[in-house]
Amino acid sequence: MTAELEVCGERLVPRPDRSLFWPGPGALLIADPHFGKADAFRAAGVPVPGDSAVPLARLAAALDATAAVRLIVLGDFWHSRDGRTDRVAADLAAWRAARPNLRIELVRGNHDRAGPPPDGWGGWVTEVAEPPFRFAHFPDPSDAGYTLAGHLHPGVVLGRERLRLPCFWFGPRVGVLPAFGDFTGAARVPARRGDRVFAVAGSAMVDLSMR
Amino acid sequence: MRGIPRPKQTRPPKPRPIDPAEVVAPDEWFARRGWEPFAFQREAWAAYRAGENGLVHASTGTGKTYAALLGPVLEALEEGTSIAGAPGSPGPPPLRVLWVTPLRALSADTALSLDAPLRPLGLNWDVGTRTADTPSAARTRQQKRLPSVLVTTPESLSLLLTYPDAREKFAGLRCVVCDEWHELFGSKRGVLAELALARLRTFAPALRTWGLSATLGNLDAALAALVGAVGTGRVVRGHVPKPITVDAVLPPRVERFPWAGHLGLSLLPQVVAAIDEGRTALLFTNTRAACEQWYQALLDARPDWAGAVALHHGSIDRKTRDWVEDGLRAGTLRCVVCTSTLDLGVDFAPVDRVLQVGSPKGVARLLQRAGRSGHRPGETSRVTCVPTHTFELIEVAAARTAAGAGAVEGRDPVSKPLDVLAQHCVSSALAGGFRAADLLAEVRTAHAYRDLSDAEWAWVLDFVTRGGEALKAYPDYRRVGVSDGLYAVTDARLARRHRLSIGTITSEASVLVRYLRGPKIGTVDESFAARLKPGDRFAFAGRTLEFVKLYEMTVWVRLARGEANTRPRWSGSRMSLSGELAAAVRAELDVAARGAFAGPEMRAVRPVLDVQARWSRVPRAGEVLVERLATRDGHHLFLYPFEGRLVHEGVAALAAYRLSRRRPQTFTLAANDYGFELVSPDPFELDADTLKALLAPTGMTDDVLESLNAAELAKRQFREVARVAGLVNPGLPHAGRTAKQLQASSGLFYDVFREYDPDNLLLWQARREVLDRQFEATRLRRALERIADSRLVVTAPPRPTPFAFPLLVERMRESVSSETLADRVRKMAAALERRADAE
Repeated sequence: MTAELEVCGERLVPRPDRSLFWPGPGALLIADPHFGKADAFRAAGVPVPGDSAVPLARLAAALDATAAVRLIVLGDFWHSRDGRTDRVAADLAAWRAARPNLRIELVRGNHDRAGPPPDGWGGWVTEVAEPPFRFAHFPDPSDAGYTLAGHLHPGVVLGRERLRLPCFWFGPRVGVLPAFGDFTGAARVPARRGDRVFAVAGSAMVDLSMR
Repeated sequence: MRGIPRPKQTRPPKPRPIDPAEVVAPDEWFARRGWEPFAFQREAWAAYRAGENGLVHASTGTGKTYAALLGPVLEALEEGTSIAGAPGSPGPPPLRVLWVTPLRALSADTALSLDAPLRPLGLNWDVGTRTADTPSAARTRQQKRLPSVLVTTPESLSLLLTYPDAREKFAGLRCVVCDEWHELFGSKRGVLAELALARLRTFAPALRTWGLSATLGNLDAALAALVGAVGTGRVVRGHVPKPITVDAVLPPRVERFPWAGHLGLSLLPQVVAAIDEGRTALLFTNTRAACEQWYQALLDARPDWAGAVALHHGSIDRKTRDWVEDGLRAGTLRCVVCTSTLDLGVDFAPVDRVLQVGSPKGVARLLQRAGRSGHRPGETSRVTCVPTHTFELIEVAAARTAAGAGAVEGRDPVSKPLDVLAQHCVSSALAGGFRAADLLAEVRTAHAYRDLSDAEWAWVLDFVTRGGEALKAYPDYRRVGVSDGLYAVTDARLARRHRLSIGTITSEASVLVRYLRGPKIGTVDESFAARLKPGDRFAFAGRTLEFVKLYEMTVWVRLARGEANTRPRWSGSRMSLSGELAAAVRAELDVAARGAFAGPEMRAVRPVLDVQARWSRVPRAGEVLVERLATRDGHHLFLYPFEGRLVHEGVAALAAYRLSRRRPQTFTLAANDYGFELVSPDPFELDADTLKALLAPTGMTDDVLESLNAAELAKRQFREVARVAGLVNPGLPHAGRTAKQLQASSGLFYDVFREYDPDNLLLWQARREVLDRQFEATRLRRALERIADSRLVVTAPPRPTPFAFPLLVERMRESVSSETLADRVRKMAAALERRADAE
């Protein structure tokens, strides 16, 4: 099942790969990829498999499927300094080099103190205002437009088994994307009546909006 | 326990020369205190002197401590090397006796009682403690020299063993005493202790191991775990237990349609009267929430008791708990409302009355609690049960019979948990490194790992070095390095992190509760904290608090006026009826089914059982009762094996799974300690034979794993496994940003391993633990076998019976909020009462 919603007159498509597609200008949004997170754990002696190849492939597939021409990352591109290894930086640079025509905007997140973006990805911006939207890392409401943000890693908890799923959460003034990264958790969000909530259940989207 | 201040540490007494004239013989020392050594104490001393290992079991407060301590003391006196005042005697000798206790809060008290006889007997030994609370100055002193007698916990012992000079420090050890071994045995903490004991026996081959235990149903298994590959030991049966009286507060009028959690407070006047009779009472509740509720109710009933009634449970700040314990010792408190936090530990002599709210769930537990009273000579221990629903009266009668017959629960040993072994391997790698063959040989001397296979060992070694199969792609990864066959940890950061995370205790993520301007009050579950809205008022630690904000893992509150409008919840599994008590309940019912009602409790419950017999049946021995019923809710099947809630959840899930495999159908399940219910909107045919086939023990494990979303349960169980195996950091205080960036939930690890390394043995362990703990797989199998051997009696009652009613409520509880539940239940119960009266 695919989901979509209208925010400020614009059509938005939450996708099960945890990206959000904005068909108007052909932009794909992701938040909190936390590249190098597993690497940071390994550096500290904690055995975690996984690397940036998997999320990068998922991102490439999302771009292909939507034919998006722009990529907007809503912060926390990196996880930490320890995880920003040569190997991760090289993977990211190579991925970028294969898509020279893609326009990329990177909003800086709190984890991005780890260091500058990889080669070819450009520099950080604090936020992007593009009416009717405003793209930021922190999900604070603003007069500059409807805020699309990350940071929270929103999730829902379902049923007696307390199944935890990442979700998209759109409130009256702010919409929050799930974390794009693989090895990231999800925090339960305090959704209110009227909020639109879309949970990612495997390859499907489930509309859990509070009407 | 993060963020809780360390209590003041009593410094070891300064050695001063002992006047030889003060020195007395052991019998004389006992005599001066009005004691005479018991035969079991002499037996333990002699056995120790003969080089034996052993396990002393006796009830609390009957002299187990000195049964274990005096062996090594008498040995030292005979050797004469540590005699105080002996010519040229140097200071106290190095570590001789290690005292392992599960409760660090008790270590100071234990040290005091161990110290008491030493100087009078003329020994110049010093006594010290080493726990997570030990201040750094004492740690530094202990780095140079360990005291002659050291009181410690399994965790702190494991930590001491990670230092490279451990071999040398423990070389002179003669005796290890594991106190409250029944608490450790059967848990991963116990396994941690077993591994430490195995290591100590390598360091000091002549070491003797002694355990002290309360009464257990399987003492032989507890002894086997204690002595490991040494293989033999003596079970010393201690002093005859003090006489114990079990009785109940009888409700003036018995509800024929009982439902859990409703009756308790209506007995408040009787409880107040019981407390009034004695000097000091302990009121045990099964949950922390009930503890808060009863505390408030007692104060409302007797405002004059303000200051003399206190509250004690695991979420209350340590300082407050210490204050309560001091008050108990001093006899200044009239009543303490508490949970299992006061089950163990040193005696509070003034306590002369114990009350138990709700089912004790087990015989051993009830005896343990009863034993907290009556410590004065000539007094009996007495426990009075306060039923929270009618059927608990049957449990009281059953518990009394079982206790009289000595039918006490055992604990199931834990078999080779690989997470604990992984932790032990890293610990050993820190302690100067290990060689694989040596460590394997040593580990296999620990009882829990006696059957460890070569493949399992190889897997654990690979896991702690390379990270296992999943990390094949990352050749740079190292936790433990191997060089020339020596496994060692070289990274200092890693070493530090491991030392901080030693142990097997996992607690639900909890957040601190603290006044905006003022002290800490305690902790609540994170999930409760997340639901609070500013202005919410909740009762906690006996006060009404107003929620202000949640910030930095702390719930900031201020004292509130007015009534609480929400109640903290603490997760924690609801206890299930023990196998022994369940069997005793079945026996009581059999007697009742034959028309005999002996004892006040069974007589009180008779009207309920009469209705049950009239509408359906009271099962006799060798029978399992099944009830079929159709209501507006759908088609019900009730089955009453009387085996405890966890077992019933397993049986119910199994039955539902096998039923729906025959024909796709949806069932709703509910289970309690007496039975379970399956409901379906569609009718389903089931005769006794089909039902028997459905509950056959064959293929149980696979079907249970299939039937419940086992993956989800295993994922939750993986929390503990991941923590013990060193994947997940415990929240480290003041660890700063680096530690935060290394936090990930165990669920994430579970998912990532399932994807990249599905054969990871830790995943399998999580699954096995789900079977063992969530469904008590062993008991489940025995229950199914018993059902297979029983006659299934199927009845079709006209309406829900007294047995069925609590299950209906249990199921409704899932779907409605508690207030509307209470209303609905009251209406239903009233309707059923009218029907029963009309007949």
